[in-house]
Amino acid sequence: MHVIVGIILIYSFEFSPKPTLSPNPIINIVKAKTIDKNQIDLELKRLRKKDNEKIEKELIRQKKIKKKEEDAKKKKLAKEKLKKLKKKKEQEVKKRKKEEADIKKRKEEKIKLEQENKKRIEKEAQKIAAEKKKEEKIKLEQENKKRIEEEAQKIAAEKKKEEKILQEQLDAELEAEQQERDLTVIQKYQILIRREVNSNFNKVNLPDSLECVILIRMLEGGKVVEASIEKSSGNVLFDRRATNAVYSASPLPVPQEIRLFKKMRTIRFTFDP
Amino acid sequence: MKVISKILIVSLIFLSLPTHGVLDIKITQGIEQSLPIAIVPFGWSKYNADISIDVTKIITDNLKRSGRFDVMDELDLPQQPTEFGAINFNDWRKLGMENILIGDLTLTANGDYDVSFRLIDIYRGKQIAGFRIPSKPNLLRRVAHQISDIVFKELTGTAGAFDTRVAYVTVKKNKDKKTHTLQIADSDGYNQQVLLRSSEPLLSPAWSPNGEEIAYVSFEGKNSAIYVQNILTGKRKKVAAFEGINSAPNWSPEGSRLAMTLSKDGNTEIYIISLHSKKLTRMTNHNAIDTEPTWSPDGRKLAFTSDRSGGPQIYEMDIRGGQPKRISFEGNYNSRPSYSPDGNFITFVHAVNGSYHIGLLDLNNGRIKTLTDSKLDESPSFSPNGGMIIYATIGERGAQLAAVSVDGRIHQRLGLQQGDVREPAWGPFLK
Repeated sequence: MHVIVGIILIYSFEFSPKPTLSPNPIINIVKAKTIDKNQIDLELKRLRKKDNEKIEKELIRQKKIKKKEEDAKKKKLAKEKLKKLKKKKEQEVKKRKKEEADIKKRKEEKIKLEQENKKRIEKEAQKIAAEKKKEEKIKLEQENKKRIEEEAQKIAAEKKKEEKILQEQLDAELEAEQQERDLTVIQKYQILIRREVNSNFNKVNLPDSLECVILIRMLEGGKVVEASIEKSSGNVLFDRRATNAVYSASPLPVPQEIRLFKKMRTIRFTFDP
Repeated sequence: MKVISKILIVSLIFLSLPTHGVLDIKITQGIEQSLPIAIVPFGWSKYNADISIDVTKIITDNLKRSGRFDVMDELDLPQQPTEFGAINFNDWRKLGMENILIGDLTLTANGDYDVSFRLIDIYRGKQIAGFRIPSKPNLLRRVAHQISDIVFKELTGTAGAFDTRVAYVTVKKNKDKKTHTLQIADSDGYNQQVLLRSSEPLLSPAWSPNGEEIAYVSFEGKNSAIYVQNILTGKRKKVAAFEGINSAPNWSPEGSRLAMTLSKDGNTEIYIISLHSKKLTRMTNHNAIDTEPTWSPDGRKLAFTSDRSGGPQIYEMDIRGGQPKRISFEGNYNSRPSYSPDGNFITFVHAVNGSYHIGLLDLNNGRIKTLTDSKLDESPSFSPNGGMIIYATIGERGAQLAAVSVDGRIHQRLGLQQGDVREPAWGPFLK
C-alpha cells in the first residue's frame, strides 16, 4: 500500500508540473471546412476501408514480427540453457577440484598442527619442569630467609624488651624527677599562698582556740570562685573572717603552667591560729 | 635495686602530693587590724528637713572612734545603694570591701520614723543582720547607737557599748568662783544632761546596775556626803553623811547596797550600807588607809586601795569578811581599782616614776600591763562590754576624758566640752 502511495506520489510529483511548464499547449486546432455530407460519407467509407486494410496488414505484420521474436527468444533461451549447463559443469569440476585441494591442504595442515602440538607440549613440559625446579629453589630460599628473619626478629624482640625495660626505668626516673620538680614548684606556691592568706586573715578579737576548714576552688590565674566551709569552727564570725581572708587574698599566687595549676586548683585551708 | 629505690621515691612523692588535686594549707598566723566597712548614707523615703540628726554620721563616728573599724571615706564609695537589690557586689569586691551598711529612714503618718538597715557581707553577697526599728524623732540618736552596737557585735564578736552613757564632773572657773557640774552624756559625748550644779566639789559618780540612779559625793554642806540621785526624776536622797570622810561609793551588782569609805570610826575604812535598811557593815579594820572599794561582778569580793604595806596597793577581800589579800605587786603606787565586767581583770592607776598611767591587772596570773603613756591619768572604769576603759587625763585644754582599749591599741580622746572634765564613770547597758 505504501509502495503504491509512494509511486503515486512520485508520479504526480514528476508529471503533474509538466503541463504548466509547456509553452505550447498540445491542442489540435481543427480548421473548419464546409464539406458535403455525402462526400463525407463516401470519404468516410473509403477511409474506413483503407483503414481496415491497413489494420489487417499491420496485424499480419505484427504476427510475423511476434513469431520471429518468439523464435529468436526460443533460440536464445536454448542457447542460454546450454550455456548455463556448460557453466554448471565447469563449476562442478572446478568445485571438485577445489575440494580435493582443500582436503589435501587440510591433511597437510593437520599433520603440521600435530607436529606443532607435539613440539609445544614438549616445550611446555620442559618449561614446567624448569619452573618447578625454580619454585623449589625459591621455596628453599624463602624458607631459609624466613628462618633467618625469625631468628632476627626473636633477637630484635628480646632487644626491644630489654630496651623497653630500660625505657621504663628511665621514664620512672624522669617521672620521679618531674614529680620532685613539680613538688618543689607547688611547695613554693603553697608558701606564697599561705603567706598571702595569713596576711589577709584578720583574727583581731577572735578566740584563738578555734579551727575551721575551708575548701576553695580557683580559676586559672588564681581567682577564688568558690569557698565552702568544710568544717565550721562553731563560731560564725571566725568562719566568716577565715572565708574573707581567702577572698581578700584572691587572686591567689598560682603557677602559670596549666598542668601544675591543675594539681593545686582546689585548696583546703585549715585556719588554726 | 636502683629501680626499686626509684619506685619507692615515686610512691613517696605521690603520697606527699595533693590527693585528688586538693592542696592542703594551714593558716596559723593571721593579722590583727581594723575591720573594713563602708557605711552608705541612709536614704530618706520621705524627706523631713526638720530632722537635724544624721544617723549615718553618728554610726560612722561611733565605729571610727571604737578604733576597731576602718570606715571607708564617703567620697570613695563606688555607689550609694539604700536597698539590697541595688548593691553592685563586684564593685565593692574590687575595692576589697568586706562589709557594707545600708539603711533607710521612713517618715510615718504620725510623724515617727521607721529606721531600717542591713549589714551585708560583700564576699558572700548575703545579709549578716537586718532590722527595722520604729523610732520617734527625739530617739533617732539612740537608734543610731543601737545600730552601731549591732554592727559592732556582728563584726567583732563582742557587744558594742555605743548605746550607753557616761557620767562625769566638769569644773568651770569664773574668776575666783568654781562651778562643779555632775553630767551624763551619750557614749559619744553628745546629748549632755546636767544632773547637779554646785559651787562645792562633786566627786566619784557611780552608776546603779540598772542605769537609773547615780551615787556621788558632794561637798555642798562643806562636809562630804554621799547621795543617790534618780536620773529621770532628778530626785535624790542622802545615803551617808557621817562625821569625817564620806567617799568613793560603789554599787553592789544586784543594786541594793553601796560600798564606801568612811572615817566615822577614826580611821578610813571600807563599809557596806544597805540602801533599804540603812544597815552599815564595816569591812576593814586596819590603821592604814583603806579606800576606793569596788565590787567584783559576781558580788563575792571587794577590791580596794590600801597603804597597809607602805605605799598604796590593791587588795581583794571576801564579801563575807576575812583577811584582805594584796593582789598588786609591781610598782610602789597602785590605786583606784575597778573590775572588768567578766571579772578577769582590774583596771587601776599605776604610777611609774611619778607618772600616773592606766594599768591592767590580769587576775589569772597577776601580771600588770600599762595601757597609757600620759602623765596624770585617773579614775579608770570599764565600758560595759569590757572592751574599753574610760579615764580622765590632763590634756592641752586641762583635764579631759579619754578611753583606751583593753589591749592598749586604741586610744580615744573624748572632747566633751570646755573646762576640766574629771571623774568619769561608764554606765551599764541601757535597757
